[in-house]
Amino acid sequence: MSGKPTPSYREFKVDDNFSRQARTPGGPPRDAALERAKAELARLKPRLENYVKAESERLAAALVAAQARDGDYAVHVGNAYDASRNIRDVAESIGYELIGFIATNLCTVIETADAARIEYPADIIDCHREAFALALSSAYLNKTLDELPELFGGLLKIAKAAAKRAGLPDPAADDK
Amino acid sequence: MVNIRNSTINVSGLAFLLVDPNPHSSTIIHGILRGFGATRIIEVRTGMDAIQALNDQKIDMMMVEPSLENGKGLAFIRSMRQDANNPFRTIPILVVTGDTRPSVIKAARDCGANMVIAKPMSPASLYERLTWVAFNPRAFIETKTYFGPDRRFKIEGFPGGKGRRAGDNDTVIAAEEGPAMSQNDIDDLLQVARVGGS
Repeated sequence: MSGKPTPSYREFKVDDNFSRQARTPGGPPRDAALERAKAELARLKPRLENYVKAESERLAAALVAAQARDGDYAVHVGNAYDASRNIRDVAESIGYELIGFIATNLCTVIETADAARIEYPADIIDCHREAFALALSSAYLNKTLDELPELFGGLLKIAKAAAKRAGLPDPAADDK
Repeated sequence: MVNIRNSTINVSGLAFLLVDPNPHSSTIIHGILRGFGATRIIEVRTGMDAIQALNDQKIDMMMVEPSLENGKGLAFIRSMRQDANNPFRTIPILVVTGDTRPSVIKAARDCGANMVIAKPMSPASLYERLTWVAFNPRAFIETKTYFGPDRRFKIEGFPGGKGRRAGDNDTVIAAEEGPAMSQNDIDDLLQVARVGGS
């Protein structure tokens, strides 16, 4: 007996068709592929813009409703989460960096509260309502985060504060 | 390991299956893939439709949103990986999600996905992931509780510079600092993890 334990796992190589084909010559150069993809997104932008606008209206309405902190507070926050998640997934890809960021940050705050099973932080959600109203105004709609370092930093800080309050790790430390 | 920044991929003729309940988010991925030269892109909104698509045609890569059917996206991947009779159980699978909390990333890794890509997605981020999957294939690992790509793909070195698996290459790593676990202790820990113990 060798005394070596039998491995409790099996390891094997996979030669999948995707990898094999993707490595073959003939694809467009990287920069050309990226430019073409950006052009595709630009072509899709009008359709997606309507969607982002509709979800933004839904989010704004849910946040205003949540402000009342009535018996349906959790429902309003749930609606705000659904809308902000939809915005998060789409807005930045078509150039709406600021509203995409605010929606992402709001999602983080709500997901943090859900994970910690604590009440949704009304004050922090309210900050996002105000920031979102500002972001939707024509003066801010097309602003980038680089142009608004105070707003960007401030919202990140309150997401961090929400995580701390919930006893969870800093969400900004997530490995994206 | 290949420098993916200088690599070009050829996706023409490859079939992509996008499993995302949100048609708008799916449209973005579809558009980006078209820009890369993909012509066979199938979009579905439910797990059932994904199974149907897999039965109907040869799929080369799948991208799955975890929020599929109230959060069952990762369970869908796991069941596909675990099914020994599924002809697609080893195809590359990317998890596409806007929820990048560590717990979600870990769950995505543990269900057998090749990689996670965060939404909002940019063409560059998707290109990078596809290139990585194409040029840095990982061995598959099968245990009692896991079937999927080797989850140690970010590893940059092994203790003593030598990996313990047959496919591990020698690497140059920094000198050891301070007290460290013995190899026996590490082996014991990994053994527990592999058999799904606590």
